Amino acid sequence: MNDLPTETLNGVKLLQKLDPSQIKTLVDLTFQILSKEKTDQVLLEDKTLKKLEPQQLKQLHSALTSFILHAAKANTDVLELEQILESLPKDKLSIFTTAYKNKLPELRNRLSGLTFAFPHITDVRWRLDYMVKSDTLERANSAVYFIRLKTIANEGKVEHVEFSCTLEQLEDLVTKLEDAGQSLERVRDKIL
Amino acid sequence: STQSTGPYLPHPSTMVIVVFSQKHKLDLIFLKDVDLAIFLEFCKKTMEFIRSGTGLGRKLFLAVAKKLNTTAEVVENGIQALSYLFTEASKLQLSELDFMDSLLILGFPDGHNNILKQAYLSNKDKIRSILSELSFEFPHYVNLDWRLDVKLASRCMYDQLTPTFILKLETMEQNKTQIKYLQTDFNNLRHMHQLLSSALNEIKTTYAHRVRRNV
Repeated sequence: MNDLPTETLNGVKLLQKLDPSQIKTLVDLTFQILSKEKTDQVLLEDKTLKKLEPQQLKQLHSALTSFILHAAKANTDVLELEQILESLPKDKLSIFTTAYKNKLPELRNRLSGLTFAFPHITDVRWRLDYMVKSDTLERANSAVYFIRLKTIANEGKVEHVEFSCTLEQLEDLVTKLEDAGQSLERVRDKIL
Repeated sequence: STQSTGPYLPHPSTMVIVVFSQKHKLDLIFLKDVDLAIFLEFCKKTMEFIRSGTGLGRKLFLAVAKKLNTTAEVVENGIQALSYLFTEASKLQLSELDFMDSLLILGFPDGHNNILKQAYLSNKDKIRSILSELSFEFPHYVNLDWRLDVKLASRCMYDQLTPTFILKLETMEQNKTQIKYLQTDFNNLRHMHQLLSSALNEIKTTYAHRVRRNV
């Protein structure tokens, strides 16, 4: 964990001043706040943590949060964590590292989504119509497909992309989608 | 008198032909005396006009006018009248016979009529597809380009291995191309593929066939 700020490390080391039940509560709540299950209000309301000075609690929590994120970012394993925090007593340290180990996959999942991207296609709807005629074309007699793609943009905004296509155009589209899917399978076969 | 039970002959009013206005007929008179080679070129220019709209501009009309020893205005009117003939005929999907019948009123010599017939038959489908594009206020599919990218890291997280499909969707609306960049993951791609494949099969079902036959 190369870029860990000193004050974060020092803040986390303050954990040794807490008793085990306080550490467990703080660690669990911190992880829950990170996964947005709870807001940081809970830190002020919790009975176990009430004994701590508000200033100290705030410092501990923010240092812990920053530490966890840095660790998760680099996929740091428990061994390395134990090395970094070796000044802490083993029993208190293990409360933290156990929770970290459990929550790491979920945390990394959330972090991987935190980036910018093109609108992401999540659904497709289609409709097959038959055009009888139009003002410019008598006896049109053509089948036309309407396709609607549902996309989710960066901030979670849902949008739709709509277009029409003929049978030939849809065949072209489907062939290309199949190609694309097979390309990943080919790569997978090569790697595995 | 007894009713004739002879062979069925289409009543003139149910025949479908191109109906010309007085202006159309007047605008085309000057072409009657033009020689075949120049008439053929005139027809070709008309086809270009249909394909590109009014983008051809005055230069073209002037060039043709010079060859025919007339004014650009006369040429422009002539091209517009001939365009009307071809687009109407294409729109109505006239048979060769009906097309030739439409020409009778113009009084062109046979050589001219044959050139017109050839031009119509060989360009009919192209003109119909241009006409069908005109009626679409909906963007239609042109192309899909795809790319498989693998995200290795981002600011918030190192050491990833996330495959993502980047899609470049090209659509066209009223002659304007639009390009959209989209992305999706493998599961959604598969889902899209399955759904659209079954959509394709839909057209081959008996229900769809029946609709097509009965319209």
